[in-house]
Amino acid sequence: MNKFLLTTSLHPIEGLFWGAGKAGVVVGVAAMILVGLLWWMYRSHKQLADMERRIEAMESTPSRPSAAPITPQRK
Amino acid sequence: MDYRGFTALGVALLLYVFAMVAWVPLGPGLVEVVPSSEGEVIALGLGTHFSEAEGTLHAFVGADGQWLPVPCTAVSDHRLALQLQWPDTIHRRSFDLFLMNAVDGTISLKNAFHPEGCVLNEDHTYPSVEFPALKTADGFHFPFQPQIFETIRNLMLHVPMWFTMFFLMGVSFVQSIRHLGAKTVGIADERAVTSVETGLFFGTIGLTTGALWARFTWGDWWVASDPQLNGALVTVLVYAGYLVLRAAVDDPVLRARISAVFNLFAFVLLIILLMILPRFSESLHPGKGGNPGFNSYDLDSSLRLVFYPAVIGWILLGVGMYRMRLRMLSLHRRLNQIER
Repeated sequence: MNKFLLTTSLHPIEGLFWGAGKAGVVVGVAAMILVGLLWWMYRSHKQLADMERRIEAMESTPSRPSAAPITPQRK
Repeated sequence: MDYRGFTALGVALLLYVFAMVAWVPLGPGLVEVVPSSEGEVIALGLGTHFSEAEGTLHAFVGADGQWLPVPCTAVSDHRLALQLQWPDTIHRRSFDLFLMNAVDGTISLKNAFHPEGCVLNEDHTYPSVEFPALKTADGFHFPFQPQIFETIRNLMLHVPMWFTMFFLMGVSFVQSIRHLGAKTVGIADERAVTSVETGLFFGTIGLTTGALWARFTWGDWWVASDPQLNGALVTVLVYAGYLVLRAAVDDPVLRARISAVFNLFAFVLLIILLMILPRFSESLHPGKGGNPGFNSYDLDSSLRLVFYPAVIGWILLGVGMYRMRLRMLSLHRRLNQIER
């Protein structure tokens, strides 16, 4: 970081991960968490919505067999 | 309260946490000193206001209660030029740097200088100087720590991952005990495995974010000698083993019984590996191996005002996710019943 700080004529604290006192690391960590959470939430909500839709459809037409195979019970 | 309630509460708290992480400034501090081409020494500051406080700047080098005043000029808010003249005789090999000004208060850099070409005499004394009273910087800010700098904000993002994992594994532990007491496969077994799955999610994020933080504060993605890091990895692998074990047994009664027993040992291992062993051996983690915890740096409690809500927020979100998974399993059951 020294060389950068001494040679730059702009704001002395710049850069991605090392610059700005490593503020980029905070952004990186926050991004990792948010991406992980969003992926998980998206996947879970999709599964939940899909199951609720199927249950609703099957209850309204009880004699009709399900269109897709049921996800096997987890061990 | 269903999963939506826990999730909403958690998200509300985490919005506050993310806002504080983004907007609370870091307190002023000194990063390092470097020689300049003009023969001066430049003190590099972070979050400092050298130019703004030009008329009130004071600089001293020294240690052990002996101080040498140093003339200084602000080059910018973050750079201060020091006109250092070492005496012929010095009383120790390394000297700390202390800077004072009206905006930043007193900031220091330990062992900033190691003067060469001077005679060492430990009994030597310098002419006494008036050392201004120590003062902290005004305003609400996170504490400045050498090497850590702005990444101290990660305390609110990385550490609660582990608290959430501990909590969820604790829930799983209790459910496993309940299952062993009940002796029939029921909701307790389902809760135990769901809690482990959700806890593992947080553990994995904790490992990943920790590796990134370690790279830019300790210089490596993984410090193999750190017992806390290795303990965290082993714990995550042990719980991954719990899921593998469950997948390997077909009989549901046997599967639930064996995995419940495994889970009891896994939780005891978690406590030993993450909470006990690191305290008795060398570790880079704060609060471990004789290192002071973060809270000891934080005299104005600014970290606590964000850290505690962060821990509660992440745990609530974790519980929301756990209950959402349970809801999913219950829908699976209902779907199977309808299909039969």
